[in-house]
Amino acid sequence: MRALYWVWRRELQVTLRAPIIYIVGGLFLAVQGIAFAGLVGVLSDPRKPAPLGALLEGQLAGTLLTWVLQLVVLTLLGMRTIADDKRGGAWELLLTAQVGEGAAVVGKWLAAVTVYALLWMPTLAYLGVVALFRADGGGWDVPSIACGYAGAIAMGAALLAWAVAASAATTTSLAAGALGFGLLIVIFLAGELPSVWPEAHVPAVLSVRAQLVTLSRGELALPAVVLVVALAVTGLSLAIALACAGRRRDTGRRVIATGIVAVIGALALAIATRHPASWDVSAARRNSLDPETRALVAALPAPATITIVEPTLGALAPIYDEVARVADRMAHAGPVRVTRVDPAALPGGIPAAARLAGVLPHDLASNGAVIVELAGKRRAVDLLQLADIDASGSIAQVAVERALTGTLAELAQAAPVTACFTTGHGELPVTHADKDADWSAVADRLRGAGISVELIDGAPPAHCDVVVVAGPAAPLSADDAIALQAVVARGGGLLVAAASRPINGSLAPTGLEGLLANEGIGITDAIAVDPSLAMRELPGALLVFDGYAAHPVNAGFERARPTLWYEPRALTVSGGAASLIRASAASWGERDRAHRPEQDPDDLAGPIVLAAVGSSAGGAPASGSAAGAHRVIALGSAESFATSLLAGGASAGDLWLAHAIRWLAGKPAPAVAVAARAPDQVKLVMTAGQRRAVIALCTAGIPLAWLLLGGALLLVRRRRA
Amino acid sequence: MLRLDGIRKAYGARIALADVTLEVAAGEAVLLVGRNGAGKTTLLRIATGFLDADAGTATIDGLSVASARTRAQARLGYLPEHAPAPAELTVREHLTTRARLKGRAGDAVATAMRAAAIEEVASQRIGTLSKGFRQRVGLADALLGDPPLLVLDEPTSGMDPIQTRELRTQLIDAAKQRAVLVSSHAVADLEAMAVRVAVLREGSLVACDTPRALCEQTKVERLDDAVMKLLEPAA
Repeated sequence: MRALYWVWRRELQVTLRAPIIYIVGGLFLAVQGIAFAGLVGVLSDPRKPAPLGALLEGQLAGTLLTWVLQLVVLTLLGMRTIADDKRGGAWELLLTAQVGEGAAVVGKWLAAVTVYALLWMPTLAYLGVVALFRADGGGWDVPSIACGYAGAIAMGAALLAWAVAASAATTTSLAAGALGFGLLIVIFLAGELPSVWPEAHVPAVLSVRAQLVTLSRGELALPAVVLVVALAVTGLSLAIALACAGRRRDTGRRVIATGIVAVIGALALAIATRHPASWDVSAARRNSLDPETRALVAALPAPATITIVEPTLGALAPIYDEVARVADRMAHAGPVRVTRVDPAALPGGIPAAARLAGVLPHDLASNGAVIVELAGKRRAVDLLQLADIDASGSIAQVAVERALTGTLAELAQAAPVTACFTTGHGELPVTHADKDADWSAVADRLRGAGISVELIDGAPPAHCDVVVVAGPAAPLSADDAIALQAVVARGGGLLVAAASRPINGSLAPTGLEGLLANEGIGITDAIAVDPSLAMRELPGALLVFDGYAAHPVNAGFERARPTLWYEPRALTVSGGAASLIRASAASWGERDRAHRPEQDPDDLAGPIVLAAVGSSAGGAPASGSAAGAHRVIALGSAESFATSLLAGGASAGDLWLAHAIRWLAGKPAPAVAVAARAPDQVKLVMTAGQRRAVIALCTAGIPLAWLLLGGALLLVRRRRA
Repeated sequence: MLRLDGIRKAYGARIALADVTLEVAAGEAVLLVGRNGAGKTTLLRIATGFLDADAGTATIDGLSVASARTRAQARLGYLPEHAPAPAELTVREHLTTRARLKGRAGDAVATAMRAAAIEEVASQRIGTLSKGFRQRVGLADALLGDPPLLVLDEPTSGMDPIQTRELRTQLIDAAKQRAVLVSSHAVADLEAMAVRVAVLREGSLVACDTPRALCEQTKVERLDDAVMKLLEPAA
């Protein structure tokens, strides 16, 4: 240890007295400054939200460009450590002074690592810039920052071992530099290969940048630690073997030992990849699953699959990276399999995935989605659930874990829901019919959501949680109505979708008008007309985007998911009944269906109600599942939920119906108490002048200050000596 | 003090040393001479433990250089050719860290500087010193801790006559009461300090005796003539 310490100290002394180190340092700081200037540009742009990620995460992990330049710096630091000494004879002098090759190599490597660590120190000034200009909100998360810096230095140290090995292999710095840079670039690019060539069978764990991202998020992951240690130990072992080459008789044994070390390192990396334990050192515990999530995943009744559908919008990549991280943690906590796919590669392509998510195909393509499957049930989670985006387009909250956990909880819910569809009155069938005039898409959606679909003829059996009357062409009989009244009375749910298609020139009654009236809901013969919601491609249709009332059934729909209504009948609500979905204030209920719609005093005044919830349940819209409560929902148009309309992809009607039936059954999605969290990155508030000053300071000021400081130190020393 | 027994070393097909046996006793200075490439530096490197021999043993004070290298090196002061030292450090800084590296006592630096007569340049950067002073710094390094064996490789190489004379004086002082093995291709430079002269030709030790005995053996009056004769290829 004495020899090691004095080799380190002497090497450090000599290195810090050499002018070249200040030039190398200036280059390093200029590269870091340019990267930080880019980050400042993004963080201070008022038009763009702060990117997701820990403070300085991108800075510490680097980009391809900054890494190439960093590899140059590492090469410059490592190339002269041994090669120069060999050429000048100092190596001989060192190894005849009771210093073994191991101590000499490790001591010189440690000195280079110390210098590399010193080069990082001026970059702490970047934190000062952030402190000076940051907007309110967000913490500093000092442990994550410390972990990121330690990771960057440790990774540099591991790579330096290979630059030192190159130096040990040659007797000229130039050759050592060329060989060292070659080795480093091979190691680095090997890790980057999967991102540019996914078919290459290179483990992602080899990615230097990916591991640094993990570390700078405050996640001390075992694979990252093993990669650093394996690279460093193998590099140093190789350096020692090369330092002995041509001089020691046991060089062959040392080379074999290096090979064994490399194999052990590879095996350790493979084991760490299969069992990727990690320690979350972040202040906000951002890298750990919520205990509720862990408990849920551990107790899943069957293996679950999380399919991440990649967005084409590059700006959303950080959100989906977070999705992948959370999903991976879930995969390690229980029987969850995670895949990332291109949406076009999904069965049915983008339209099918969009249908599942209840969003428009082009929105899904650009925004991505996550499809969660469990025991034959499927649920899509889209961007709107993964992150709360405020009016300015900034990400106000990240809710990835909450969304995934909630979806898994919903799919894993043991309590089954049975929806019984009445038949025999000309209802729209739940199987395929001519011209897609059916509710088969709705039935598929319900089954995918874990809701059993049954057909009934006559009085509903006791196991029916919800009875659905889907657009009857003929009114239900009084006996049927009484039977349904009994269902509602015993706490069952009833969904009545009135037929809005003319039957023999008129709108058919449902036969349930009395029952609905008791609930405060009326189905009129007026057709809702709303010029402001009209679609040019489909005359008579209304596209509702922001007419959703605050009700559990509508969760996630307001200004997020459209429902398309084709010539719906206007509903009326009275007493305690409430509107669920309504057209705009510009709408009216057109009573004259024989002529072109035109608002006149005879028409119903807007805003027209398209879907309503009955009085008993409507009074407590947010409570969810009070047993025994009347639960009745009426829709002004069964045809608006027909497959022919849903197939266009413009309507999330089937998803809305699944919500409605689950609510009617009194078995809503389980509440998940996983908190959303604020994005970790901060916004900088600065004027254009301040931004220019900061960029100039980081790209030129700090590197120049380093150069001047080094020059001044050398000058003072030379004057003294 | 130093015993080299049956040392053999080859670089690929080229034989650098062939069964060289040489002993240097305490208080004895042995001058190792030979042409460039004769194997002088290789022999010294094996003696100091920098290089492993292919065969044979090297011991310092009874300690094997191969199996007890650091303990053997603790009894050794070595001055390689060109006396490498970092140009940016001062003489004192360089010698202090070298002394620490060798585990020498704190006053070893002052004693070594005094012995090598470099106290006047102790605070100067090594890069600013003349070739002669740099060699003396190297000598001071070798003298750190007063080792019983000195191994010097071409200590006067590249020096002008005045520098050579000054260094020779230092070497003669340093050689007193020590075992010294010094190599040189300039016999006249170090003749005065040599008790014995070992002549190495193409990796083989062809003679090792006192200067007078070598002169008598070759029937010449001057040592360098004797060495030249011994270095001529065998008929």
